[in-house]
Amino acid sequence: MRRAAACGWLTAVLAGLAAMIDRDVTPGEGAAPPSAYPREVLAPAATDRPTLLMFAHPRCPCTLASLNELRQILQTCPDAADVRIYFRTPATPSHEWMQTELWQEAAALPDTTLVADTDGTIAKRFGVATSGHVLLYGTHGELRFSGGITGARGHAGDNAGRSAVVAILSGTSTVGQRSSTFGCPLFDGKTHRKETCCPP
Amino acid sequence: MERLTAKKHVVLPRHHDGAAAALAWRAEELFREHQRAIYRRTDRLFAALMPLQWLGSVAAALWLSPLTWQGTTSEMHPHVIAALVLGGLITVFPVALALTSPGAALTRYAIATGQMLMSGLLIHVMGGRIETHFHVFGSLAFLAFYRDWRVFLPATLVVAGDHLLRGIFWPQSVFGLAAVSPWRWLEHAAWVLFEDVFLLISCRQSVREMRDIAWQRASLEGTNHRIEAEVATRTAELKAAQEENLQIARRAGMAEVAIGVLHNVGNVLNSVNASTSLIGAKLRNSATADFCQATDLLEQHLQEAGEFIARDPRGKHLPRFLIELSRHVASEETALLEEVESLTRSVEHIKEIVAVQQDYARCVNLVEEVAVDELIDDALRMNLAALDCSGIEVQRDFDALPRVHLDKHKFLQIVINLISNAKRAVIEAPARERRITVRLKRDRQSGIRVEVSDNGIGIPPENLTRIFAQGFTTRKEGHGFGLHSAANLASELGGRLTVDSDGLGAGATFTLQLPTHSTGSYHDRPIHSGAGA
Repeated sequence: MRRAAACGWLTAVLAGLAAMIDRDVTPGEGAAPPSAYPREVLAPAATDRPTLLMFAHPRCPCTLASLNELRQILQTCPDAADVRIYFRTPATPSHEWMQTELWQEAAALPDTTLVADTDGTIAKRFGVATSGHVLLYGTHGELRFSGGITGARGHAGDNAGRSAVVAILSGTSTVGQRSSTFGCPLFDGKTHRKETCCPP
Repeated sequence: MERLTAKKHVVLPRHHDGAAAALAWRAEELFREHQRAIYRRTDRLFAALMPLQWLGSVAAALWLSPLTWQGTTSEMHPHVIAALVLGGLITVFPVALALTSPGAALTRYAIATGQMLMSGLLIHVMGGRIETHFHVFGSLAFLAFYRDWRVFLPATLVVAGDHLLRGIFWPQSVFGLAAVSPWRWLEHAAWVLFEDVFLLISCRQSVREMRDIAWQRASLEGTNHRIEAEVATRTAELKAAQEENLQIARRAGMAEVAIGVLHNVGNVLNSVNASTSLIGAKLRNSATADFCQATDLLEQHLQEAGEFIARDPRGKHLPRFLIELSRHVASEETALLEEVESLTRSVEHIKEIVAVQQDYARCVNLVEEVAVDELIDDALRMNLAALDCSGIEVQRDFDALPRVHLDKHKFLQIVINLISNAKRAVIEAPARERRITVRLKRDRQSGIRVEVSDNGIGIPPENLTRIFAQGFTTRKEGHGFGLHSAANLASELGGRLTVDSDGLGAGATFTLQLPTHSTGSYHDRPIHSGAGA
């Protein structure tokens, strides 16, 4: 009787854990970024180095892991890119909306520009729908990377996205890459954008 | 498995007997008892720890990721729900087992499994932080409290299985990469095994120490039991010996009484013998024969009695002769009556002495109302002849005391013994004034005090402490029972017997202190009657 109860208990727990893990490794909505940097939308900060854009929801707890991964990228490849983080804000952002832990964490990153993306206008222009999504454009404006830099929702540690960005910035990889993004949706409701593959 | 391990440590001697087997069995029993206590204690520890860590996981989830956002709207983060529901599910079953079945193997395994599952949940809720992985190793250390290597099996299997399954189905959730080596999970499991090795060694040492302790305790218990059995045996032997000694002492006391009685009877018999000899001699030499000759002569001259008395020279003397003869016979009769009275008294004395002896012999353990001074006089009378023969002066110094309740048989044995002892002490002393003083006093502490003092050979100081010991005597023909018996009897009467002497040649004083139970306050006291003689 007790053994049967133990088996039932173990099965229920494993099922619960599986559901939780499955949810956390289910990526957010894909992105459809322009394959070339849209200069008509947003001027690049510099032309002598790549431009790295991260789109973030200022209150998404999963994105803290993305910022930590970005910090590691910047430590590995210092001054390798012009880094901008666009925090999606409501059309009329309040003080509480802007003063979050993520803002503070992002502000502590070296050589990083924080931008309030009012009502997610920039994110929409770049076709990004999930917090933590990173776009990396080359010096010629070509899209080199699109995706997340964490392995799961809010999960720190080695992951394919971070490795790809580091490889591109350090010059060990020349091909365009992508990865799944794990984070909160930037917008209400699904945008059903279809992620496009990065050009080589 | 456990039983086999236990047997492995139970090394019996080659020619083990029942005692060795019992020792091994007891050591094993103690070890199991200790082990069960540890299991139950650790179960209780986890029963308290697991709910706390559950609450901790909920708090961590609420702190780190309270809400999930979709644009400008939010809802409770799935991690909070997972910590609350899944954490509760993980916790409730092992804790329920710990509370309902503490010490059971299933409880330990469920707790070990639950701990590792909680580690997985916590790591996940905490965003895979490296620091949270220490929960795994901390939990293993806590599981080592069980001192049962088997709990590491489910724990390690859960960790290895978690990494294996995640590596297969969700590799990025644990390794961060979608394509990793299929053996990567082994690397993670190996770190757990790494700690397992040290914990297993620690557990093994602990179990070995527990077995050693159990053996020592079993040996100690065995020794204690043997000592207790030995003590019980010796105590029984001592009691038997004490009882035997008591009987010997009583017999010795009775013998003292009997000797005294026989001595007195013997003395009285001398008087009886003298009286009977005297009566016989008086009867043999009685003037009755002369009276017969006179009456025969008178009968021969009965026809001429007047002429015979008037003229015959023999007849002339006959009336005077008869007058003198009748006076002489009357004197003889008086003397004989006196001797007969003396003889009667002697016989009465013998009868009385024998009656006293019978009385004391019959009334063992009988508490009755007595006059202590009369008892002491009885004791003196029993020794009177011997005392007189030895030229011993006896002085009496008695206070007027009320009648008390006593076992007079025991009391008399003590006093006779003391008087007899004093008599020997003064006889053995150099010839001089021999004196025994018997005092009867009211004692403030105990009640009555009987002192028998002598001016005899005295007692050296080194003997004062052992004079009441069984078998101690300074006389060649002594047995060492008399004073020992007297002291025991004094204790039985609720009193005590002590001795005081200034040393050799200074005489000695034996003091018997007894509680008084005056007649007035003693009526409700039961009379204990023992076996009659």
